[in-house]
Amino acid sequence: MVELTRNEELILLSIWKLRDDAYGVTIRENFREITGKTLNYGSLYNTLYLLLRKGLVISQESDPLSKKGGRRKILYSLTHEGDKVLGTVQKMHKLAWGDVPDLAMGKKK
Amino acid sequence: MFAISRDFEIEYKDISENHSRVEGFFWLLGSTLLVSYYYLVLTTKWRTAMFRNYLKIAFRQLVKHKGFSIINISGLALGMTACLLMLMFVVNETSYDNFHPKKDRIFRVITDWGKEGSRMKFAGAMPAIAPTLNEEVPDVEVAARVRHMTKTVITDAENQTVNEDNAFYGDPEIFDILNWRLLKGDKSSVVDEPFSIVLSYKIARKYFASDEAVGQTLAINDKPYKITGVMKDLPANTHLNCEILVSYKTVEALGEYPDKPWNVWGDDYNYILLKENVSVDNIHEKLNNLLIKNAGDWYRGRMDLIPQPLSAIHWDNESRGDIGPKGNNLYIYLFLSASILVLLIACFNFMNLSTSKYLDRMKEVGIRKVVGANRQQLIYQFLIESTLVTLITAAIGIYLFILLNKSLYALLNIEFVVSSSHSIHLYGIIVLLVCVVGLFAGGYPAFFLSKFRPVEIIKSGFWGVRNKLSFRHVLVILQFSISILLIVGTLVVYQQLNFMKNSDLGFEKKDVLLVQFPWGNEEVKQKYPVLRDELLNNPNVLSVSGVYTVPGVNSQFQMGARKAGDDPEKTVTLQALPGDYGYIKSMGLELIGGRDLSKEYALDERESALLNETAVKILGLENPIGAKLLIPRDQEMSEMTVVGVVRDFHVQSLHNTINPMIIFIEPKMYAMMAVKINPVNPEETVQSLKEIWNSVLPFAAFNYRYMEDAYYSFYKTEEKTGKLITIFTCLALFVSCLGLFGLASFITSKRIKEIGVRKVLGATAGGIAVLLSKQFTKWVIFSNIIAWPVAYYLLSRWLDNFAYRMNLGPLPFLVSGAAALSIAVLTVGFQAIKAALANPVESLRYE
Repeated sequence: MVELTRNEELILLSIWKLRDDAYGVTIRENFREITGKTLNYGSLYNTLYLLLRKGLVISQESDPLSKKGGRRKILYSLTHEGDKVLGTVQKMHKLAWGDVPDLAMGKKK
Repeated sequence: MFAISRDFEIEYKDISENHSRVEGFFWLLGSTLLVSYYYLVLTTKWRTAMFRNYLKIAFRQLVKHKGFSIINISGLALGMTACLLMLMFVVNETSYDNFHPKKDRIFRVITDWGKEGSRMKFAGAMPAIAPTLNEEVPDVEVAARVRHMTKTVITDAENQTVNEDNAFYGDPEIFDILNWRLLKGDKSSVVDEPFSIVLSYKIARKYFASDEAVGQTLAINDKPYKITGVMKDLPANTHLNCEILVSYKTVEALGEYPDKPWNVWGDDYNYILLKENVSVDNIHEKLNNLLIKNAGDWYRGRMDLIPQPLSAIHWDNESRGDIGPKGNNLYIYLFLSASILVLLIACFNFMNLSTSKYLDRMKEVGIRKVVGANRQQLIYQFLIESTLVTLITAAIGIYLFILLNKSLYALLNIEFVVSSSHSIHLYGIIVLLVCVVGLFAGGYPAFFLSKFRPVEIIKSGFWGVRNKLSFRHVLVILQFSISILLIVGTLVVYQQLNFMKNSDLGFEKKDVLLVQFPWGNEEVKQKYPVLRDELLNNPNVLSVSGVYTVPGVNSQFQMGARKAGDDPEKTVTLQALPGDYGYIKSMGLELIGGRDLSKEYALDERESALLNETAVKILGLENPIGAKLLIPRDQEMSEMTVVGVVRDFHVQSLHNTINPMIIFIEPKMYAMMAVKINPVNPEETVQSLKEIWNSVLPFAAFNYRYMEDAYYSFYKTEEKTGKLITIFTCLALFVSCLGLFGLASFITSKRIKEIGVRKVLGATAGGIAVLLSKQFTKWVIFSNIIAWPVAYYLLSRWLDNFAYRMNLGPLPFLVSGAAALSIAVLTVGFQAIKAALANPVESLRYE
């Protein structure tokens, strides 16, 4: 069973949500929208690298961007393994949180 | 379109302040030249009669030699247009951010972050840098942060939402660093309060049509922001095109400022203005010291804060998270040299062609002198003629430029839009071109012709003996050298392209269809075996394999693998190619050891793998067959046995070396199906494929392409280069031919008497034609000698870009030499034969 750190989980989720558009800047932005925290570029790339090595994520180079002087963006997407891992995390999440009412709203039971 | 009509002085001041002293000077020089030029030409004002006469004659000359004039003018106009196109682009690119007067002291702090040999640069740094510098480092005059507002949704007066791209948070100190002019509002107070903003003039007009924007509120992301100022629109060539400036204090107010501002980086662009005479290295050191002091020792050696000069920002293609359009040095050099070359060549051709026609007018000159014209008047006459031609050419050139610039820039894949802010550049360049060309191209014949004494001229048609290798000759040789260089270049580029497309990639790319599966679809995965078996029933289907990726599809699936029994530290990164049993067959890979994966071996389904040669090397496996590896699968590390080794093959383009690869069976990762078909009658096979697909997977669209084509898409850049270089070659050849044509006609007309004499003495027309052509052949050979070494050097350097490249053999050189020769012979031949067939009586008549 692959253990994911919180960051890894959230980054994987961002990549899943971003579909074709997941690269450094967008993943970071998405992360910020979810957590409200700024993810350090350092942590981001460290984590992405780990995820790549674990086989949960793949990287692709985009076509050369004429606007950026011919540089290529590196796009990330989930592998099947990555999909499965996210699914497992989601299942666990539902089990744990599924029957808990909206805590943000009211008082404790 | 161009607002050229402004007051002289105001214009100069405006330019010097807003652009740079250099450009102001440029403009001044241009205008002065223009004015004095016309003064010169027009001081014959008191001889208005003569002036009109000269003009009349100039017109007549043009019309009389219509064909000649057209060739001449079109050649020059083409040169001018090409020049304009390239120079406009170059000037724009090289003048990025020139309008900040303190630009030599302005730097941006970028981060260079390193980890295990992979270093990355980021344009943004820590938000704590600027305030700390302001407080603690006196060598820094002032520092300010700018942070891009990533989501800017404005709700306008009609409750419509508009997305804006160019909104930034900024410290008030930014006005002291960058040349952002406030039209309304005081710079010390406009962005002091949180939620206060300054709009650019354009944005203010957009949302507040005729109203005064200052004092009003603008809703951004559903929050009200107070407008405290309006600033002047920034010119197009700046990297930081800020249209909405929001007070940086808003960041904190929104809760987006990090708790540990020294430990987070990437969002804030820190601009610093150094005091006079402060060394950059000094600041560099101070920055890193501050970093370690405030963020911790962990950063030592891992993070480098680098002060980047403002002028370098536009050229920085490396740093991530950067903003603004980026430039490419290569293009600039290419274009600048090309434009100078083209203009020079066009001018010289013009000169040559004109001069040869002037020969016919020697008598006219002689007579004018006899009748009393002094040298000055003659110069004026010819200058007027050349000015007329230059003006016509310039007009055509400008017209062509206006017409073609959009499409030509698009062809070259350059994002450059000519706008009114470029009018100054355009004006300056045009003036410069007209003066240079007019004086240069027109002046030479003018000064030259007016030199000779009338008696001499009328007596003989000759100019006297000229030295063998005159300037003119050198020119033509140079032109041909350049053309030959370009022809060789074109040939080599296409040769390398062919090489890459056809070289032994280690796999068979022909006749393989790639059919896309809808990703992640469970039903597809289940039905795949059925599909495969049905397809294999067709005798034209040679093999079928579900695959994750193939050559030509730009995806990388990496895995950390190690030998079973090794420490995790010894993990090596392999490129994983999960697929089906038919993978090797479908790809046409070559097995060089062990065996292929096959259904006959039950264990192959989950526990066997193939490696390529490079993987064997990297893992250090002496006896690869039977070796055991650990790779991550199904969320754990599982053990695989190596059963075979394949010869290295190129999954990526030949730009890259081959990665270590591992192949294993993994049906869950099929992204597409690789089908190798019989090359005979492919349409039928495809059709039956489609039918079978639709019957097994009716819900999925049948998307297919040839693996060959997918692979070729790697080489888009090179194809574009090929196109570009072909265009240049044609241009250069055309221009060179013009030059040669001109020179040939000049020399031929010079020797017309000699030819006449020879004919009288019995020479055949053919013999004379050969005689004349011999001289030019010599030159072309000489051009080759010059061009070949240069071509060899340049092209070797270009080929070094490829990990796999062709051998630079003699063929392209020989072919281009031959091509140049034949073109030259054709061009000259026409003249030579015409001269050879001329009636000697005519040519010798003047005696």
